[in-house]
Amino acid sequence: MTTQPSEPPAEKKEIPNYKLYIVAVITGIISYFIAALNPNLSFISIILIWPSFVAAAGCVEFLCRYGLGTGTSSIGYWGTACGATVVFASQFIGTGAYSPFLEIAIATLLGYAAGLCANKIIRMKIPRIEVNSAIIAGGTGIITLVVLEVLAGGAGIVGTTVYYIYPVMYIGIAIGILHPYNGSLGEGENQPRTLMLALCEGALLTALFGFIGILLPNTPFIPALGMLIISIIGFVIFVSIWWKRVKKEAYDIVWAGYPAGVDH
Amino acid sequence: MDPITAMIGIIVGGIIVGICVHFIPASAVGAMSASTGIATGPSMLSTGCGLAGLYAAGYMIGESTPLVVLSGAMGSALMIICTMLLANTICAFGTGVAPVAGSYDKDPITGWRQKPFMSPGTDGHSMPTTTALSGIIGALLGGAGGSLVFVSVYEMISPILEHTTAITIAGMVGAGVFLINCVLPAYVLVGKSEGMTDKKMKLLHKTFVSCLIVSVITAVFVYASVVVI
Repeated sequence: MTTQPSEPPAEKKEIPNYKLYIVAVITGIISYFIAALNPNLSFISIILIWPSFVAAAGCVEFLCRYGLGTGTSSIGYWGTACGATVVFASQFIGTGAYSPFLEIAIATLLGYAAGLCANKIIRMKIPRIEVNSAIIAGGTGIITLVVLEVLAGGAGIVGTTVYYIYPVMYIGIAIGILHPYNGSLGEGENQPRTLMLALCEGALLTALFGFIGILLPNTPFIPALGMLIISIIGFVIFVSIWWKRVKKEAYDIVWAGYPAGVDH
Repeated sequence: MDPITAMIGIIVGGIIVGICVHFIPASAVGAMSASTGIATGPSMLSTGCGLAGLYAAGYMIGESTPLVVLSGAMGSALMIICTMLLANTICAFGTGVAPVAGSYDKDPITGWRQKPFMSPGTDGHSMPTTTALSGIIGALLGGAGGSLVFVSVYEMISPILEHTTAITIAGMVGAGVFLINCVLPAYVLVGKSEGMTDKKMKLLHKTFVSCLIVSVITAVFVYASVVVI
């Protein structure tokens, strides 16, 4: 008796990055105002910036799948340069309610312009590079903006009291968005697992920023502590989900330790 | 420096940074001595040069603008000279290959033949004289461009901030503008460049226009946030 081969499972449709970004912008702006209005509630703000990591990492994944001509690290650093530079350069804008909107819009515009140059002038011919560049820049801008706001204790647009953590923030955010795709390559990379790794790294980074905030003398203790605790909780949850996915999807594919046929 | 001049300084610096990447010899396959250039992407190497230049420029901040820019250029050039010297030493005495370029038969400066010393199946290895000179020119440009952005931002924000805060913020904005502009040429170079003798130098105008557009947006925003808003 022959058995009919079962149909391969239908490939799940990926979530479009622009939808992820819309969520990231909405949650990012809410998180900014929570941190600005009541710094003690900033642990909620931290939860609300994790979608920005997801959106930016999703776009890095999308662009790098095409082969960029530059490395994954370059696109990560470049995207962070667009987003974070706009936020760092806008410390002097008044603390009006429009300021976060302005910063996110400018970061997104800068990313879009760079993507447009890459596609139209340099002729990269990568579909939707403009939109994805804009999302990376906007996402990193949101992360920078909110983390600085939390660490500055809701001092409006941050002030410049925590200027000495700019470099570590810059590198940290860049790694957080560029690494999920690199870290998931090799064994059937797919969007859900890559984005789950982005959440893990986002939570780990916000935990790091919270820890730095506790150590620094001129950052408020309670918001930084809240940031650290909620990030550690988030990290544990995300890693457990991500690890289950890894075992389910990648474990057998990459296995090379035992000879074939040996139970493992 | 008045804010308008500083804004123009950011634009000019950004464009120079973009151009510098074309001069920097770098190639990822250089790690296996399969291509001329330092074993990394042009963008990342240029970033290293630029950051070294920013550090050097930071020591001179407060002096006149040309001195700061010169200091940045020197710091950047020193960094790449050390890198190329060590890379050539490793290739010559470690891997056992001579510095040769794949893009020319005779070195334009020394006149030394290249092809007989090239390993089969490669595009050259390490940095011969002209390629090394190109790297130094690129680093000088990159350091000068990055420092020009740095000093321009510093001059713009120093009236409203403390000295150390202004230096840090100007340094971060300078590094950011550097990264934005030095990754764009990587799309033109596609991960490999032999420097000024590479055929991709003909695509310099694309880099110029791209960096001009991006630098204008960045500079106008910095100007607007500091002066207007």
